Formats: sequence, structure tokens, C-alpha cells
Amino acid sequence: MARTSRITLKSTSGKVLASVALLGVAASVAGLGTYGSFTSTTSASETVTAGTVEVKLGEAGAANRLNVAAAGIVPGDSIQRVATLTNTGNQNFGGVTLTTATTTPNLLTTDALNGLQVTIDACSVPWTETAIPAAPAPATAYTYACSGTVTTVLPARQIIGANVVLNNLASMTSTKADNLRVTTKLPTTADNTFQGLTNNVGFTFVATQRAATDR
Amino acid sequence: MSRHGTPPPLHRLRLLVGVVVCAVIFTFAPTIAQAAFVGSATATMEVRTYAIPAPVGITGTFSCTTNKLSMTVTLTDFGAVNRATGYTVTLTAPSGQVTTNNLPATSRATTITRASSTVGNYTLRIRATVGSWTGQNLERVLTCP
Repeated sequence: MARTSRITLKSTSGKVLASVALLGVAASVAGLGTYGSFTSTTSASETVTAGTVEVKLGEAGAANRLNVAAAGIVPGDSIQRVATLTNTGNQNFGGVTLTTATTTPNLLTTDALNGLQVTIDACSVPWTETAIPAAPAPATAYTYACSGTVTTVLPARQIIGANVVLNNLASMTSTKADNLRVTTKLPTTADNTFQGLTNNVGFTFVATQRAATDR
Repeated sequence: MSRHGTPPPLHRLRLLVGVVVCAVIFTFAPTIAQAAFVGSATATMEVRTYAIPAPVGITGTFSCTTNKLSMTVTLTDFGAVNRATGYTVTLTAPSGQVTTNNLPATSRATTITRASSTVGNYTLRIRATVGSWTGQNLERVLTCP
């Protein structure tokens, strides 16, 4: 009598066969799902333009006298120079700071007490300028009067400083401008050792963007 | 060998690199996060303080006593100095004693006398003052005739 064998789920072979079959079915269904789905797309475009943060000083001349040298300074002298500061960007500023620096430090800039002191104020309308011939020729001294309202932008302090915050600026608002008057003074306490000194002081106005908002 | 023994060199190197990378990321990430638009404008101002020059030119006369132990100088004028608030005239005797006359800026004439204990040359000096600053001397050495 011939011997026959049966494969049942109780045997090891049966279990292996069943597993393979199950995996095969699952893979087939997954493949159908991947390649058989309906698709639909739509699109929209959004233009994003970055704002501009720009600050400018007036052109050399009546709108900017900062680059006019001041010579023959003695203790007690004041040097007045105007400059227009304009927000030429399309964004409001979050703040404006002033950094004043020199590449040739000497007593004028290193002596915080007796060296040069600077003050900045603003006039609500352009300053009225008076030019006076000064020695040594052809030097010119300038004085300014304000027919509007004067506000303090920077109280008196030593001339050299980094990231000094400026206050009461109209140019915090886009397209607005400030009529600034920069007054530099040599204190009366500057002694004989301050004679015959020369210094170039760079005035750098730095504007930073307004606070970020949702747009 | 224990599982908790010293890690092999390669593992330590990887660990070290990982730590360094993390440190760099955590150091610079805040900076990147705070980046903002800025604009700037610069102008330079030149400031020169005064160097007080010496007066230029003297007009006057001088005379000595017969024993040459005293000199009198009479100044009628000397060169004005720009921005001077006053002038200082000194006469120094050969023996070193000094006589000083201080003049206001509006006056450049004076008479100054100095006695000396020794015979020799007298020195006349004139300098301008501007506030607390003093200028260069105009100097003349005078010899009794």
C-alpha cells in the first residue's frame, strides 16, 4: 500500500507556504494602491518682495557739511555741521545708532573728559545757515538757527563711541528725513598738550529694520 | 575584555567630532536667527586744533646801565597773533633772573627792565596766550653796547 503525505497548517512547511502566500498578496495590493490612485493638482503663486532698509546722508553741500574740515580749534570752540539723514528704504526703522571712530587716535579722541565732545540735535525744519570766514583762510565756520522745534538726538558725550542709540528721529519712518546738527566741542579744560592736533572722525549712522510682523 | 572598557580611538574621534559640530551649531545658530536688514551712511569730519605761532617782528629799543648790570627794553609793537587773548613778555638776565610783563591782547607795547648780578647777554621772549594755551616764543638775544 502506497504511503501518502499531506501538507497541513500545523506542519512547518504549511506555515512557511502560508506566510509566503500572505506576503505575496499584500505586496500585490500595495502595488495596486501605488499605481492605481487618482491624482489631481492645483497651483497658486505668491509674490514675496523683500523690504529695503536704507539710510542716506545728504549730498555734500548745504545738505551735509560734515565733511567740511574745522581748523584752528581752541578750548571752548564749537564746530557746528548739519547733515540730512533720510530713510530712503521702503521700511520703517527699528532703530538708528551712531558709531564714531578714528584711525588715528590722539588726545582729541582718547581723552573722554577733555577731548572732543559731540552733541546732535534736530530741527523740525531745515536749519538756517550762516557762514562766516574763519582763520586760517579759506576756512569757513558755520552757525545754525532753527525756526521750528529743536529736539535732542544725542546728548553731549565723548566723540568716540560705538552703536550709540539716537533718539527722536523722524527718519524712523520710511521716506522721512531729519535735519541734524552735529556740534563738536573742545572743552575749556583741554590743556596745552591739545595744541596742533589733527583727527579725522568718521560718523557712521546705522539703521536696522523694524520688528518683524505677520504679512 | 569588558564592554565598559575604553572606547576604541575611532569611536572617540567620532564622539569628539560630534561634540564640536554641536558646539558650532549652538554657538552660531542664535546669530543666524538674529540677522536683520541694516543700512548705513558715513561721513568723515576733520578737526584740527590751533597751534599758536610765535609773534613775528619786534619794534622797539633797549638800553643798559653803564655797568651793564641792568637792561631796559621798550617795545612799541610786535606782530599780532591770531586769536591771542594776551601776550607774555619776559626779559631774562645773564644771571637767570626773569622779569615778566603780561599784556592784554589789545596792547602790544610795554617797557620791561631786568637787573642782573652778572654781565652778559639778556634774552627777550614774547609769546601769545590763547586762554590756557601758550604759544611759541619769539626770542631775541640782546647784548649791552
